[in-house]
Amino acid sequence: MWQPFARFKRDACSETGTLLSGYVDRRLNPEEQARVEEHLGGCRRCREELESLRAAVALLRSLPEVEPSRSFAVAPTKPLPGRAALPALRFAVAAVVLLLVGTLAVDQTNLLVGDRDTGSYLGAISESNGERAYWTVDGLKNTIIDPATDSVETKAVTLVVPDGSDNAVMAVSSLAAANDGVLCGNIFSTGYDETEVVLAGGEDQAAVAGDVEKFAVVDVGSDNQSRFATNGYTGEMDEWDAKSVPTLSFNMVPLDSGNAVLYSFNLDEAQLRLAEPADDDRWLRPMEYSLVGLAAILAGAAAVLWFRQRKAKALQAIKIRD
Amino acid sequence: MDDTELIRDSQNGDLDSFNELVRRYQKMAYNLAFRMLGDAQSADDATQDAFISAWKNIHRFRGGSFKAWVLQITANACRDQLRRIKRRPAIPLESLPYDPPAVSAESPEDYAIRKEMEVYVQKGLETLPAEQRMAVILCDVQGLTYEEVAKVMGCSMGTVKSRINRGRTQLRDYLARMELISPEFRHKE
Repeated sequence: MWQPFARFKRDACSETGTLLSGYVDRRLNPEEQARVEEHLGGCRRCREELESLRAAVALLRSLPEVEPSRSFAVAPTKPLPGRAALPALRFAVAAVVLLLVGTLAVDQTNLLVGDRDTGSYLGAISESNGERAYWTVDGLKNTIIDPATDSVETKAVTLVVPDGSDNAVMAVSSLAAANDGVLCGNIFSTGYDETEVVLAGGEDQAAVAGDVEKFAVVDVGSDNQSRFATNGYTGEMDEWDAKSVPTLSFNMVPLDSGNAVLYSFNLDEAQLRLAEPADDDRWLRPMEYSLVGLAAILAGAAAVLWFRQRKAKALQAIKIRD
Repeated sequence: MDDTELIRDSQNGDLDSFNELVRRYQKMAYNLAFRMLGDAQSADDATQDAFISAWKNIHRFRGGSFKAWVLQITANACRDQLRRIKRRPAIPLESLPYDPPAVSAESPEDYAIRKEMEVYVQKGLETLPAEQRMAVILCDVQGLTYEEVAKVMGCSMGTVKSRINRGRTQLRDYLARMELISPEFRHKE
């Protein structure tokens, strides 16, 4: 069996602790079930742990159903009332809309941007184990390649980036920032047939324990050890959610391994939400200022035309009445 | 009329059919939102956003569990709401929605105890990180299977199991600190 990394040493109580929920829900496989029952037989502390967990679950299940105070039926959207507008007014409104859309498109596609990285940053989910806060980024498609045999297996890997900062941007850039893309990592099993890779930037040994491996991060499709960048915004629509899901792909290569890819991450179905861009400097370009200015002028012109039309109609109404 | 017909009619643009689906699923969606967000106003907003989004995206529903689809949209609306709130909302006892009166066998003391327990469990939920909170609510409050939770949350089974376990453990620790569960059950330091 291929075992390139020693398992992180956990004592039996720790391991049982991670399996207790599965045990309560009868979701363990027979082997895990047997291990847990055997341990529980001889460990009072874990038996108490189990009972308290059951008590917590029972309390959750006893939460009453809350009655909403109103109906959430969707109201039909009102169609805009038809108006006989001046052709000039219609033109002005159309022009304003086109300009605003154009400005937004120019901004969103970074048409006028050089090398600046102003795109959306991938966020991550913040979690805490009580002692420290960190970010987790879940990857669903991860291939592990045995460098000796080139055989490929797919395993679920949870990528944990212990960063401790509140800035979601750091979760992504920190993977590349330290030591020119070199990371230290520790790999261990969570006990649910799942491998967890805990990474730290550079030599931050405080974040990892046990056996430490050093990796380089490389661009997908490249053997060069270099900083990686996100693939950016693919524009693909998730079939459930109206929001588009960005992708992040990179390979991790053990140092001095001849660039044999060990972990390959493709987070296109990941549980990622777009964080707000750290600095909203998207509006600092002269071209866009002038476009916005032009849009404002046209909006003003449209407003003037609109009021003139109302005034003319009012006068007409008075004339007819008289 | 069963859901399948209503869904089909909704996808053909019939808002009345869709609103009948809303009537059938709104309590479930509202309860997820309320337990996630902790106050009625935020839960209202999230639930309304969820059903508006569901109406706009009804054509994307391709079959399978409509319940899971609605919960998924509601979960996303809750996440959006949390980002807007960016704080952990407090929940004073008085602001809980009205409960039906106690059943005849329940003494006023029992009712008060039950109410207080509910508040502490809710507060305990709010100490959890959002994704763990959602996993625990979906599994233990809404009664979904692990597979359904994975579908609603869009994550792997291993992640679901891990979040449920960590969420329950952290809630247990909170309840032990509040002495609602016996103190010797407190998580080992």
